[in-house]
Amino acid sequence: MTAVKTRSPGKLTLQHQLSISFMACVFGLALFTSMVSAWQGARQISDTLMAQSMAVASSLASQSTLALLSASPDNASEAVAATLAMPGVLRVELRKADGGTLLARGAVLPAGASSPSSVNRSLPMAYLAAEDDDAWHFIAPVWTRPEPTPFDVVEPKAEYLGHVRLVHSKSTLSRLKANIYVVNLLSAFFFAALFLVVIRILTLRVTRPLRSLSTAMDRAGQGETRLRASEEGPRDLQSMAQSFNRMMRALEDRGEELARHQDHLEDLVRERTSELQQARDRAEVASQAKTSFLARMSHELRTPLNAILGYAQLLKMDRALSPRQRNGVDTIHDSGEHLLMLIVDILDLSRIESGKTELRPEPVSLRSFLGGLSDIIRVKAEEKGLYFDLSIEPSLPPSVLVDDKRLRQILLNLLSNSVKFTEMGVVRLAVRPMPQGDASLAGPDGYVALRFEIQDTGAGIGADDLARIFEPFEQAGSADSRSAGTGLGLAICRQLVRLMGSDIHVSSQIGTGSLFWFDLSLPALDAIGLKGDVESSQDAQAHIAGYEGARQSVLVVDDVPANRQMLVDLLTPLGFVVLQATDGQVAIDATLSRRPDLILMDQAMPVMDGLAAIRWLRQHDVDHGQAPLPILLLSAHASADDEAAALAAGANAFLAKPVCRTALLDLIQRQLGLVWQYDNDQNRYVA
Amino acid sequence: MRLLILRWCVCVLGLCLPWQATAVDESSLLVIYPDIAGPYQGAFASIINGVSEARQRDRVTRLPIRNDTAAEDVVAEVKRREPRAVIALGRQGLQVASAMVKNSAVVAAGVLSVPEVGAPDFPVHSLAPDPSLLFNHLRVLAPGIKRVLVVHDPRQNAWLIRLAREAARSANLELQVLQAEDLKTAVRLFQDMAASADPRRDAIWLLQDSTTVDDVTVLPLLLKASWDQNLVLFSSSIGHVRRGALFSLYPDHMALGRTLASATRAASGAQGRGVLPLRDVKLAVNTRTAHHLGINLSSVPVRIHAVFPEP
Repeated sequence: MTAVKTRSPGKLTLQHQLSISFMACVFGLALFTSMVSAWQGARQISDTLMAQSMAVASSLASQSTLALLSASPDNASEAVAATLAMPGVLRVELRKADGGTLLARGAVLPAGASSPSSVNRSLPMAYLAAEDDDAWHFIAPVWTRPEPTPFDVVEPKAEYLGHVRLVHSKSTLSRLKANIYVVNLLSAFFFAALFLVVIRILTLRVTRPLRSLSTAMDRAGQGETRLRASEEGPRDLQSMAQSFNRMMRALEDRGEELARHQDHLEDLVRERTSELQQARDRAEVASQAKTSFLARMSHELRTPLNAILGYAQLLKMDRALSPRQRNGVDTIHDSGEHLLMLIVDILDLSRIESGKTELRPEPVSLRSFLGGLSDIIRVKAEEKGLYFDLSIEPSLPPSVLVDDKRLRQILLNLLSNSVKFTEMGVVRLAVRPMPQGDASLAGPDGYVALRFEIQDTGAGIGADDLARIFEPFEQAGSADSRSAGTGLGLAICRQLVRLMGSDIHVSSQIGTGSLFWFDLSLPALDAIGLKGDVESSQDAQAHIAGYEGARQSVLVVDDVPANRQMLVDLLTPLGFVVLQATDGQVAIDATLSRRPDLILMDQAMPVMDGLAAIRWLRQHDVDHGQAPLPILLLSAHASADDEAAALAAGANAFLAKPVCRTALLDLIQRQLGLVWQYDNDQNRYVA
Repeated sequence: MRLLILRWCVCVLGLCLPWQATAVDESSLLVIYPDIAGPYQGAFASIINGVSEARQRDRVTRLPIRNDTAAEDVVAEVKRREPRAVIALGRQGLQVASAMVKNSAVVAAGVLSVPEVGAPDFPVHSLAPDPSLLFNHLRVLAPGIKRVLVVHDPRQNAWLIRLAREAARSANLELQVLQAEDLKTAVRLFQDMAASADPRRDAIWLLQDSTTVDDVTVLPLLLKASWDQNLVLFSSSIGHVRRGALFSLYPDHMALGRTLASATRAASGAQGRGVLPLRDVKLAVNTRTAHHLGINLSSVPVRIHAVFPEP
């Protein structure tokens, strides 16, 4: 679309430009022609006047012959008087052959006036002898004029008698010149003005249609439609107007067509948007359903698992079991653990893939963090007779900003895999900083690129399997040789590493071992990290037999009797007075009637759920100025959101079901400030 | 027949080559004259006609001389032709005649005067009217005139003044002769003359004198004085009559030609010399002036050949 050129107020219109140009040309031409014609006329007048003056001088010279011959001025007085009477003749002098003045009449010339010094006798006629600004000075020699005939034996000779000097004023010339200039200029300017009027009329005739066309274009440029320029004026302007009108018609046609297309397009977009919205809504509903399903499934699975694992742990503490029975209990416990791990991994992967997982970087002391990891893996490695090697570069930064839980999850997973698939040899964890130029991840200043390498001398992975080991539920090797595991570990690792902005790589050879590595670009911190020590609580609590001090009462709130009973069986042997409630409301009533020292509150319950009960109790404590009652929320909803909701409601701590005995006892110890009493008979427990 | 063819050829050649055609012809009369245009051409033509008329039995051949023709060439041509007599007309004719060896009779004419120094050794018939004829006519037209006043340049007209003095005596007139060798002196003399002249008895005679008589100054001066004072002014030039002089004698060219033809015959015997005044004249009178002077021309016993103003 062409932009409409708006008229700049500083620029002249075409009409004015034409008028000014023509005016300048006409006036210039008039001035020039008047000057030239005046100059030419003045020159002709000057020549004429000079010729006349010379003729007058010659005539006077002819008439002065007698006066000069007779040396009598009177003989020329009449001729001189007649000459002086002629316009412009200022002075007449008759001079004798010897230069003496015979007669001088007329105006007395000023002293500085030009005066011819000598007479050119060779010229037979009058000539201009001198000239100044005011006058011409003519001289006409006077000769006798004998007329020779063929009858003269001796040809008569002319005799020089003297000369006539005639001074002719230039005032006539100047006046005529001025008149010519004035008349020429006036006539030139008159005709120039006449031309201007004509040009004005002509330009108006030309520019009016142009202005009309320009106005139409301006209005069209401002968006006005259904515009038509009037087709008037000269033929070419009519053509322009016709072209403009054709263009406007074409634009309007296209505009209408475009509008039709636009309407259609809007309908189409609206339709598509609606479909997409429906699809999105369906997807959201499906996603929500999936999430709800997973959460519900997690809850539903964790609930029975809680009882299974709880009782398994209790049974494992029973020293009266026969080895076969103990083996069976161990199997139950391990299977429960595996099932729990499967549930956790599925949820984790699902959460990562749905983009709901967020990294929570915190300052971490690398050496301490890696040392803690090593302690865990080393124990597992040494159990299999493997050597575990931790290699940390000295140039490693003291601390970095990283989500330590996720990094631990990745490293533990990879290292566990290595230990799992290595029968003999070495499992090695190496961490070293990468030069910025060589790092696969280039970070801004203040970042350090770290390479984490997990190497083993295990069975190795075939080239065919390398591509799919990071897929969910995939394991290398044949089905027969697959080890126990969910098959989700590597998939979760890859997703987490990608979440951290990198990717995980593997190189492996069958029979030689495997090498997994990934690079992370992390902000380096100078301060020693605040976290990193792995809370390796160990299984010291496994040997807890009771606690010191007065007996503590614990209210177990759970709608599932098996879960209540499991906790009763767990805590009662340790000396706790265990009370029970089936829902939140019952728990409140029980608390009001007999305030326990600690409440183990389930989350999802009928009548009143755990969170509502906690909130009520917290408000009750505040209202009655009582010290807050320690409440631990035990929930089969194991997500971080669930934990955050529990803490926000006022729970002192959150523990996901199935409840780990060690973790539960640890939390009870912290909340009640207990000092555990341990059973010295190590044989009674199996860690 | 053979002679006839020869003559015919000579005639043809003569027409084609005038100089060559007139080969040696001892019986011929050669007229040398200026080949000029204008009014003077008629004068020379009339003279030649007069010659031819008088010498009908003789062959009269003409030799025109252009201005650019060298005199030596003409002399050589004349010599080659060997004419029996030569009539030289005009200034150029006189120059040729003076330069040629005189094997034949030579008569010059068509000039006004001849300088005293170096005068030719053949007779020169001047165009200046004979003073005696002039005075005679003066006595007829203005019987009261007793004195004739004249100004002349002796270098030109001393010979004529000599004749005039004799003629004046014969005519019982007093001739007052004044000399001037330049126009200025002449003007002064004429002015004095006009001022002092007595119209009742004095007449002023204008000569054909290029030094003293100037048509621009002297003539108007004298004409005015003449008119104002009723002074008789006569002249040797007919042009002056046209402008207001009372009378003049002018050449009768045909008669002059005849005279010249006779002169050649006379000169062939005994070669004479000297300048002769013009006696073949006619009378021209200005009737207006005559009327102004109170002259009754009808009663004048002379034949007037030309009158001015022309009727």
